[in-house]
Amino acid sequence: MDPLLEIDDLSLTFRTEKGPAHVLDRIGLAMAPGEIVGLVGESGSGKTSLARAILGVLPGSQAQIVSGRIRLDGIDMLDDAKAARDARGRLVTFVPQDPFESFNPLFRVGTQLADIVRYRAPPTAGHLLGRSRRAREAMILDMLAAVQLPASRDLLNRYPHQLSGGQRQRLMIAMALLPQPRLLVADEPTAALDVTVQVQILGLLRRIAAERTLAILFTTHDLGAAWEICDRVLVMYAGQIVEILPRKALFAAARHPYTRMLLASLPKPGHEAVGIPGESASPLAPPPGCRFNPRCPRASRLCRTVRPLPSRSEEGHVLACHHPMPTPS
Amino acid sequence: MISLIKSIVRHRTALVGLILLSLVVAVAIAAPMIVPYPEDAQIFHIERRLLPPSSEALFGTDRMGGDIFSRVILGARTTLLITATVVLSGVLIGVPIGLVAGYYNNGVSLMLGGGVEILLAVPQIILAIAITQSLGPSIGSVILALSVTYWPFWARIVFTETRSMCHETFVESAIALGASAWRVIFLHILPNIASSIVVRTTTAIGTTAFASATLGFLGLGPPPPSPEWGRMIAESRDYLPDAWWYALAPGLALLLTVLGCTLFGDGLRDILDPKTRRGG
Amino acid sequence: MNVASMVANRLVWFMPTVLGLLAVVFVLARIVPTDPAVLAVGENATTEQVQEARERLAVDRPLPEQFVEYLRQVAQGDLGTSFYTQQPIVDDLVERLPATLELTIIGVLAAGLIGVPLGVVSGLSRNSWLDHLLRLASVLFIGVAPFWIAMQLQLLFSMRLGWLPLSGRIDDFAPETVTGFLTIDALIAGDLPNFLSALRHIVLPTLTLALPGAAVIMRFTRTSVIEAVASPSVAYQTAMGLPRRVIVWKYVLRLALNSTVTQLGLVFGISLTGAVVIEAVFEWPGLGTYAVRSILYSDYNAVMGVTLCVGILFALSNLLVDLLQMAVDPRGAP
Repeated sequence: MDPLLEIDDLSLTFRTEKGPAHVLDRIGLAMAPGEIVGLVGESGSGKTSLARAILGVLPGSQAQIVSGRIRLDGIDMLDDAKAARDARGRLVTFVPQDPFESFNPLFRVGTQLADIVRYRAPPTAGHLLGRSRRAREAMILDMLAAVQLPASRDLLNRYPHQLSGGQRQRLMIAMALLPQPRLLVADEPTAALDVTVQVQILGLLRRIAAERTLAILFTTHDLGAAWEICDRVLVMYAGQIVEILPRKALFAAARHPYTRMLLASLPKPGHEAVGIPGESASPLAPPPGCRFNPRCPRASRLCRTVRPLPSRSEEGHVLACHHPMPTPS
Repeated sequence: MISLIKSIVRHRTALVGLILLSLVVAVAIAAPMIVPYPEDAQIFHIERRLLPPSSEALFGTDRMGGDIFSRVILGARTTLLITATVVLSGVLIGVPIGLVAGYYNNGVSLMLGGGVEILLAVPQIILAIAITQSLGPSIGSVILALSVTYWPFWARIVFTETRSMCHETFVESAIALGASAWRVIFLHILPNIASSIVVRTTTAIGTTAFASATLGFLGLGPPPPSPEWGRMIAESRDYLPDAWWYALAPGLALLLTVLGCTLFGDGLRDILDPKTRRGG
Repeated sequence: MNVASMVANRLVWFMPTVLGLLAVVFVLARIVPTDPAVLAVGENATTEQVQEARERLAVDRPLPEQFVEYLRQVAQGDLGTSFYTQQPIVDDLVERLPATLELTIIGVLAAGLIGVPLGVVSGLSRNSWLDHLLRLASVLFIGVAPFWIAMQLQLLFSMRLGWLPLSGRIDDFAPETVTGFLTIDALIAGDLPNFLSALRHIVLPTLTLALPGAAVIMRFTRTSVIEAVASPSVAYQTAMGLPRRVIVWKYVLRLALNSTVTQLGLVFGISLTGAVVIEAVFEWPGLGTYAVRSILYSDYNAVMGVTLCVGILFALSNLLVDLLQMAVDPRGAP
């Protein structure tokens, strides 16, 4: 099967007051239709920039694509501006980190959903001049049920501040589904939510992806959350991909020292969560070679000079490390 | 401090404002040395009255034959004296009252807050006109009238900022650790609201120059023949439309002064207040 | 907070504020060196007449007693008689209030109609030459003295071009009073020439009044537009591919207007302050000229009356702005 999303050798720089920030360094990733990929990394690892690059909403005045390309369903998202604009909000949609801030506080949520339907939902046969108000509403009410919200007009007549965090995020998911996309980019969709609501939202995303053959790129700093719902997990550090693992191999086959540290830092019953020593590399002056080398106990002179290239092994496991850890027995 | 100066120089708006403001102050201080006819502050030349602008009188002459250019520059001293004194007393009265009213939450603070609201319940200029009128027209009564009526602007902003500061963790913890009220106010609150006070003061210079010119315009400023911009503008009304130049120079001088303050204040706010920086 | 409790809260503060204001002005009026009794009976009156007037006006009694007496009268709707017009002050105020209201209301509306669109344009084209031009214009109009710009407008449009009248409210006799707004009254009376005359008279004063207000509104709208464009909700809608025109003209505009409404009270304050001087320049028979004249003639009952009137106007405008804000913002007033 052809990949839905193909990212090749993508490098991205932000112009800042303190000089260029090397936010993404030669990222490569392919996603199949219906696949859920988790993008795991600390804040500043570039995962949000990658998500924005795919959506084509990088700040134009600062962002500079140094190399690489992004193809979504055959469309060149970086070079073909018109096609990319058309794809945004149709082929690929977005679930933001903060559902409260992402709603306009002065409009009823129903209005905001209706505008998505009106301007982004695919036209249907028999509605050549666009949908009627009634048809739009019916479509929205159906979608409310799909995201497990009461399918009532009362809900649509409310303002964002009158809803709970979980309700708001379900509405955001509904808005992301209304255009019937093939890829959904979810940028830390559960970061602003309570733990119990987080679990529900993750479950909802998983179910929807399966029902609709919808691919989801899910960024998170929580390896556990990624493991819950993803088919594959991609670990980023300071703008570089360090390891890509199939879900079932996450605990068994992880070999990059950084991935192993992340795994070890997951809270376990009876143990305190442990942090990773050292500070995250600055994208303003990234260390040469492997960007993780200053924090890596296994770093050698090679690591400090030559960047390890990602190499593919069995079962879709990609690893970028000169001195990988032995496979845990 | 050095970094502040650097940011002002880099910030175009602030720099232009500062240059304008410095220009007005410098001209006011050096006035008797630089004007072409320094004696025109007091002496009449009826034979030269109401002459249009020429190389001898750059902005024409007034109804007494005074060189308007000289009188406008000399008038800057009046404006500067009034404005500086009023702003200084506004800070000295308004800031302590705002701090006390904002920090404490008792009868005294309620009374102070109420007093501020009372004085702000009508346009300040009405109260100022009333006070100047009771005292008789002179520089002294203008200064007193404006000092008495304009301090609530400082009190109100300091009050609001102090109230919100009192809910900040570092202030609450200082109080919990047993720091005295004076210590909290001067070491913890004042440094954090200083930038708002500075910005407010910069714009207040413009407002005060306006108010003092308004009093002069209504005939309540320093009596003639002392040069004062507002009065000069008012005088010109009897000689319009023929003496079109009469009000030009005093009006532009006032405009430059207020413009300097507005620009410098805008720039300072951008530099000092990170909250509004992105809004710029 | 609901509407009722907000209004109640305002009222609780309103009464003591007005009392305090009256006390301040009362003391102020009494330190005037002129003797009100002499003013009342004239310079040439005999000593007996003056003494008689003193007793009639009760100015020989202690100040606090006079103040309580004054408050008792005010509570009955009696503000006393003006020395100058020899009319009850309430009548004077009723006659002059509409003139000031007509001026300030049209002025504030014009300020909004000029300031909001320019602010939106300026904010959307941030840092373009148009934006720089508009910002320069706005600081100029904030920096220019209202009485000076008023005179320049008179010089150009009345004296030189002769397009607009120099001063006053109307050429002929005023139409029958219904609202007190001459433009509206003339329309009600079906008197087109008088309507046009009233309209031509009000152009320059309202323009003078509106310019600084428009500048303030423009600056504020510009900042709110820039903030709204940078808000997460707009970033989200952009990422969802909503058309730019829908985002800007529906969602951003609404966010920006919402914060502009909060500034209306400030603009009304600026306008009322401006009206005091502008009325003097245009000989506009409103509260501003009345206040200035009463102060200059030590007509102290009139001073107190007009201060009270303006204080109430201020409070009402603040209340109105609060209500407006609650009406446009579903989250309620802050």
